[in-house]
Amino acid sequence: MIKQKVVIVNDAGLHARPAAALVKCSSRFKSDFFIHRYGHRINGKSILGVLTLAAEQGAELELEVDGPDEKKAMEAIDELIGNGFEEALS
Amino acid sequence: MDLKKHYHRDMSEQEASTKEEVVIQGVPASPGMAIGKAYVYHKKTPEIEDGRIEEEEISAQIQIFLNARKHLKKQWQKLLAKEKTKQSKAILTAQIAIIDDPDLADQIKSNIKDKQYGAQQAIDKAFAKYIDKLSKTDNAMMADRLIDLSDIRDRLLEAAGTKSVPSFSKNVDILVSKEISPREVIQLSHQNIKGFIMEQGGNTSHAAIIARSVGIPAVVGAKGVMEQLKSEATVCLDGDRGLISINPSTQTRKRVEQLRGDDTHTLEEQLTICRQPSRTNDGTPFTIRANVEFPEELEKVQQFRAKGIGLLRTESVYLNQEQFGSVQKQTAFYEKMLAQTEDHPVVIRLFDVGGDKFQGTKISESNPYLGWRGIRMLLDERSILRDQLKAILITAGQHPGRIKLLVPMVSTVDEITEVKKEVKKCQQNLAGIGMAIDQDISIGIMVEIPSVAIGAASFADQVDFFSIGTNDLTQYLLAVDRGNALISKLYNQAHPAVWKLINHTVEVAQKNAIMVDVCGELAADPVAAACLLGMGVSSLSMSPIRIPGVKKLLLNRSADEMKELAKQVQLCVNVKEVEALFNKWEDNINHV
Repeated sequence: MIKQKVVIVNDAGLHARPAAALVKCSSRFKSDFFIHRYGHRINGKSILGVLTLAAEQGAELELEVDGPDEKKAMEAIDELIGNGFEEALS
Repeated sequence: MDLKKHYHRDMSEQEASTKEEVVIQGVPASPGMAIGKAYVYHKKTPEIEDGRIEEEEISAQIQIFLNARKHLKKQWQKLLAKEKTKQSKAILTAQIAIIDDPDLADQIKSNIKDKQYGAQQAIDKAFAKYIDKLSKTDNAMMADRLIDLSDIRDRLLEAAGTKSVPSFSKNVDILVSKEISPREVIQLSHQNIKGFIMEQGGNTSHAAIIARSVGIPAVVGAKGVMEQLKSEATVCLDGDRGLISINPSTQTRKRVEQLRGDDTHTLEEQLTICRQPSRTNDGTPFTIRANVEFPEELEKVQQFRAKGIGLLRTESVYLNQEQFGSVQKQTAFYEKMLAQTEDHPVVIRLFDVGGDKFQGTKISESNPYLGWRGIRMLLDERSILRDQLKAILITAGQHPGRIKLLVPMVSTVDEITEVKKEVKKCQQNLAGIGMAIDQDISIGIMVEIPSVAIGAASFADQVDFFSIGTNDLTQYLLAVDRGNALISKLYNQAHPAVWKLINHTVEVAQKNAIMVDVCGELAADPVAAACLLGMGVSSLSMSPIRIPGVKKLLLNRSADEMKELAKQVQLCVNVKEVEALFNKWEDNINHV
């Protein structure tokens, strides 16, 4: 299991379209993916779960990935969040 | 939002004379004009069968849910396949992810298995949990999205066998509802709907975003419309200003008919017109730019080849502070506008808010149009002005020569001097921290107050350009509130007095060698546009959907004809003469 902290950088935060991109990305991997915020833990492969985080720009999240391809999964998710969901929003 | 009720009788046309015109002010959500029959849609929550199920029914109920989900996903994918704009595709994709949500499915299944709810109740309860959570976040944007979720729930319930909610008939002209889901906007846009009116909701709702990106006029936040408007009644909507007219007078109808999108040409024909170089038939170049407020409109701006943005309205930035509260977010908004307009100019108008009409402040004024709005408000609220200038000037530093700053509601030269001081101070600060600035950024004023047009000479040497706002200029010059149905027939931008002021302003600009643009409705009327060019206006700016119609006429006429028209219009003594002249000119293609 790997854990990593990230900050949401895109303007509008984790609204519908970035959330959809995040779910799409993480669902490509076998590993389980969870997001922690304020003591809540949600399934990162569930768009409704991601939306209930209501994470705005600047929000700090902790990612947790657990499974056979966890390293690759974490890399991909971290990149997507780090570049502000560039592809999904352009 | 105020609701005005006026009795209007138009003797010239019996048809419109029996019912009173009612005007409702809402929030503009997607530009353009529409007229048609209203369909007032009262959404009902589906009736759900409650009670527990027997154990042997569990697997059948789970199957009902799975089939419903499969059916729904197919429907959404069908819509997605037909969509052309990025925005609506992205929104539909996110919705499909909701339909497919693994946690949602687990909860529905567990509701059936463990709690022995029927499929319908299991679905309803699972959604209720999410809707409850989302409605508790203090993020206004999330709250705007609840309609997306309840729409998916209702369709899923329908597919799982609840009594079907009455759907709209195939031929809806104008859909009126408390809230409209993005799926409904997309579906109806495939069926030639003319416009949308929402009683609630904001202009950042998904429905509004999609309406803008597919170019269908919409007004949101129209309080009282569900009560005032009955299905089958005729309704006009003005998506540029957020006005709704129920039982419109002949005058209102005429105006809307004139300013409606071009529906006599197919999109392909419109694109062909727009691909041609902007030259009159004797080779004189002209410039058409677009009036823009939202990023979703940029696709149309590119499609119709506007030479940049002649008027970037920023009021929605001001009103949606939650999203644009920081300088950084504002900068990102301007940056987006510049990134998608090649190397063309972008004229950014400072916030034109203030007064209760403009919803921006809590101050109530007895006459807001003559009150504390535009630069008058900004100079009293310096921090708002400074934040906006900072965001604009940072963006300008990245794109030297492209941004022009437009100051609204200027009535004295001192106001310009103050703005220039603020610009200079802000640029010094930016340069001080090593940021790029556009040293020669153009600063211009809206010419919309009659005293400014008459005294244009005293402003001309203080500014780099004029932009004539014919909408407010007409209202102030003729002393007619266009939202007042009792007198709205007196409102006509082609009034000879308006032309006199435009002509004077253009002459002064030319004498001082500064640019003069027109960004009001007048520029969007093809013959008036020709007359403006004939008068010597530098560029015309209009709602993107108006570009093909205006450009078509300009391509087919000569600069000499336009000059002659501009001369003739000054001999007219009343609106009737102007209209007769314009009609004759339009019909007389081979004249000169």
